Amino acid sequence: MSPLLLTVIQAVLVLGLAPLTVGLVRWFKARLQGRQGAVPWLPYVALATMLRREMVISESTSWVFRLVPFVVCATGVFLVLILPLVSTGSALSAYSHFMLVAGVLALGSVFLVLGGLDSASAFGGMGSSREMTIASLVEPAVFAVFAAFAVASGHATIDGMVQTGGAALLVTPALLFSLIALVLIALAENARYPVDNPATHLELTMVHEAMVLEYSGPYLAMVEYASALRLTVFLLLLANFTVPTSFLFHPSAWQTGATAAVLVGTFLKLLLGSFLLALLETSIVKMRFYRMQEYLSLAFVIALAGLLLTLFL
Amino acid sequence: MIATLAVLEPLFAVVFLFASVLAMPTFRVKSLLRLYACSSIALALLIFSFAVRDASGHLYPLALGTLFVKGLVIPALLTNAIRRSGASERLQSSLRAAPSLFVTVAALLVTALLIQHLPFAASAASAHVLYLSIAVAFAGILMMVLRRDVFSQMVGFLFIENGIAAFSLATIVVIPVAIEVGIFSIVLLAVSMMALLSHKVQELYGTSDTASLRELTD
Amino acid sequence: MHLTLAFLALLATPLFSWLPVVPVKAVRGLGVLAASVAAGFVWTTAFPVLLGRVEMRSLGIWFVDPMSALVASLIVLVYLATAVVSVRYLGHERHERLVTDRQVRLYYVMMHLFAFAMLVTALANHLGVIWFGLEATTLATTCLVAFYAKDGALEAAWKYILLCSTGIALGLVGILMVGHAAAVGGLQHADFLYLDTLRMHASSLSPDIMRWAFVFVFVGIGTKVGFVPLHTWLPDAHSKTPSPISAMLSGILLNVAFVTILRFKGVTDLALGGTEWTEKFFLVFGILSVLLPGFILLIQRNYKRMLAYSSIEHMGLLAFSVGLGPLGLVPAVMHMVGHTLAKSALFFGAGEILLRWKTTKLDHLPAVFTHAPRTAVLFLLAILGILAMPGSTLFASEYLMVGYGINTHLVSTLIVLLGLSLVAVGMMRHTLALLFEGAPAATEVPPAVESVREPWTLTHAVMAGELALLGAAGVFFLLPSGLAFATRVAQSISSVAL
Repeated sequence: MSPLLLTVIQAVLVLGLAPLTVGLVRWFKARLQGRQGAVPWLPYVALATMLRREMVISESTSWVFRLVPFVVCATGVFLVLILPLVSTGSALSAYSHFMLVAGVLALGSVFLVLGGLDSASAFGGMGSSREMTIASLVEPAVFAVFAAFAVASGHATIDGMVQTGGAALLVTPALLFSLIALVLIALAENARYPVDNPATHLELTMVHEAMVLEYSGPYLAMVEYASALRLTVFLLLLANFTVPTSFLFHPSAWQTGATAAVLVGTFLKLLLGSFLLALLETSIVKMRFYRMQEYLSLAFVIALAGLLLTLFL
Repeated sequence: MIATLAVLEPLFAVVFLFASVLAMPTFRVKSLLRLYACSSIALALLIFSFAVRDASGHLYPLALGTLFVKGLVIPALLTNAIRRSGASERLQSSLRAAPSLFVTVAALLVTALLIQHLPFAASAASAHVLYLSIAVAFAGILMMVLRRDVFSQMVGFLFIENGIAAFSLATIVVIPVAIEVGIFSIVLLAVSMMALLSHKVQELYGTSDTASLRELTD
Repeated sequence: MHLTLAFLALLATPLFSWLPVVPVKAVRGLGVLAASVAAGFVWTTAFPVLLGRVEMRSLGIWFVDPMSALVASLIVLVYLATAVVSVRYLGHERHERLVTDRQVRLYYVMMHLFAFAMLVTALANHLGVIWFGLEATTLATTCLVAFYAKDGALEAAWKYILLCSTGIALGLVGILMVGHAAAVGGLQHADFLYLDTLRMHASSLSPDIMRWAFVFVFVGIGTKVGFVPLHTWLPDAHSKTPSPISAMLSGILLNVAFVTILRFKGVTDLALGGTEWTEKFFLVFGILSVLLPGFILLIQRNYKRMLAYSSIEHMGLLAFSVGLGPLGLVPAVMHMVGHTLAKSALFFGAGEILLRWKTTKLDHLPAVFTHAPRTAVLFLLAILGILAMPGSTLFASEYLMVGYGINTHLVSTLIVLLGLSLVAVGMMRHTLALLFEGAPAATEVPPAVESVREPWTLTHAVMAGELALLGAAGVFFLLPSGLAFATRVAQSISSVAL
């Protein structure tokens, strides 16, 4: 299968399944809380509706405000194209150097922060300042985690790290720490419990939602879609690091059965990932904001422990 | 079984160290005691795997004693004492959670540098266990110094004892069973006495913060 | 073997004191009886060794050489004295309903356990048993420090147990290191931690490991001795405990811990091949421990704390003397004897004052001499004894120390002399204020008691006895036979020939 085909399959699959992931998380959470919950494919309907609506943009914004949804969406799509989510060795996989990935993630965050600030509203500024704190504290942890994986596998690209086999990576038990740290980071980056509550309607408790309060219509659709993409990307990445499953990879020939198996496998990973996320969100509480430094310090120390143990053992 | 234990040995060692490191930013009494119990059980399993690996019979009683006394009896005793004295769950410290965690990590790094200067590195049974013991003892001392309330200081003392037990493992000193029993009973008695004292402090002052124990200065 | 049996028998006493079967009134008498039995037994074992008729005996885990014989004799002397004084002290407190029956039982149980633990530590041959004994003394005395469960007592007890337990735990690290050195040096498993074996094979112990071991033991057990800067628990603990127990704490427990360090020093010196390295530690900590109390005593207004700081200072003097050189052990031995006798007499006297006026603060006391002349005179004599007036044992020891020190370490000796002068000034000033000047806000004794002459109590008898012993020993040590006696005791613990 040619690398280009791999990229296309991955892009179509993940871009298509992203809103379903968000819907699944909400559905599982509702069921765990004893409610009936909306159907899992509701986000598709919501996005479609939002695209048809008229936008209302504040007059005190600048061109940055209009640029933000495009940048954020673009970073999401870029990540989907380069990371080894469904297939490894795809056309753009050489770009998946971990520093580039960390930089792209940060780019998305920074532009979202700018968007929150741009509308000069109080809540937007508050959300932006909180998001910036979290983003700056999570950076060292991200680097430490991926550095540990890089040292263990000998590749600097995430594609290479996963390609050497998920189980083989875990033979170095120190990487267990890096994995735990990656989970903690994922929760922070995706604005999930215990860092942020995505379903809150109280502005003073918001971090991510506060920044996108001013967006409406298609722009809001793009921003929501981007965060869904981020969540899907992180879930699939975590699954691929943890569980050694099959990927679609470059030198092999087209086999319908294997391909179908991988596609089903991806869907199952998303299902399991969203269930675990919903379970986590139902079990723990959101932390007070000033305790973010404890949480993120813990993530950093665990990531550092993984890195040091990988280096010296 | 020996093979499984040999594979799991690093796991026990890491859990032992990590439980004591994670105890530093913990500010709830029950979590602190659970981490201590976890650390003690990991130590007991570590001693057990050493005993099986080296076929040294004298380590079995030590492992059993550690498991029973430090892993079960002492945490139960302290939890009971805390519940009866009505002390608050929230512990006091001079440093907040994140800085204390960083200080502990700095202490671990300092220990790693220090190990090279000790004359034991060559002759110790296992360099890793030596590092673990000094690191855990250091973490215990830090907890005693940085924390202000009586329970954390007690748990800090208990971590120091754990570190010393690991040190005896690293330096392969054969202690007769009678002395080991003596050491365990002393630790148990010391802990019960400290628990009794903290109960009295709680009764008299209404708080377990040692800032109220600062009257005698001159 | 029969020593072990004797110890086990002595353990039975605390059990009897606790059981409700024995009436409370009898508990006090039982205490004196037990102390006398212990004293008799130890003295019959120890005196032959002390007087040189029998060479040192090593009986498995017990070890009776002149030094341990001396320390054990002093322990039971103070134990007996305390038991007698406790009869008066607790009797009075119980009569005034200040303590409950249960507390009396607790006191005696802990006192017996305390004395037992000290004896175990002094006579033990196995390092693990020594450690066990030291830690057991800490635990037994914590109960006694927190005896009156009031504010200051709880704080003192908490600091005491935490600091001393941590210190002794560090001492355990040192002991493990010594054992490791023994293992590396090729000793048999069973012999790792036996003192006499370690001394015999000291040349095969690695010097590096022994250096580290000594540091840990010195700092760890030094916390128990009360060296500055590890002394912070001492003034609190010794002032909040009931006075007879303070006498035991100050008088003999500090000595026992110090002798333990000396034994380690002996082994370390043999392993290192010279005494200079360990002496540096003793010198530095000794000087610090003499200077700091000197400054604090100038402003101390609590007479029990004053006595506690004086204990720190005397331990500092002991360390300084040992740090001067191998010959410094001789005055150290004399000093130990003198300090035990004088300090316990002082604390007994302080107990009398406390019983009568219920306060330890100088600012609240009237002139003691006018109301309690006998206590005052004995207290004054004991203070003079501890300040090394000629005639007291401490004079003999300090005279020898200074003489030796001027030859070897001139500057350090001058600094120590400065510290001693500060201490003397401070203590005399406060003692004279206590005895002869009343404080303006003094609590007056009601006239009914006022007119009665102060009775001659048990405490006075014990104090007089101790002071007589102090004087006798003072004269004895100045004679050649006394010097030879002290030298023989010091020789048993030293690594080089004196």
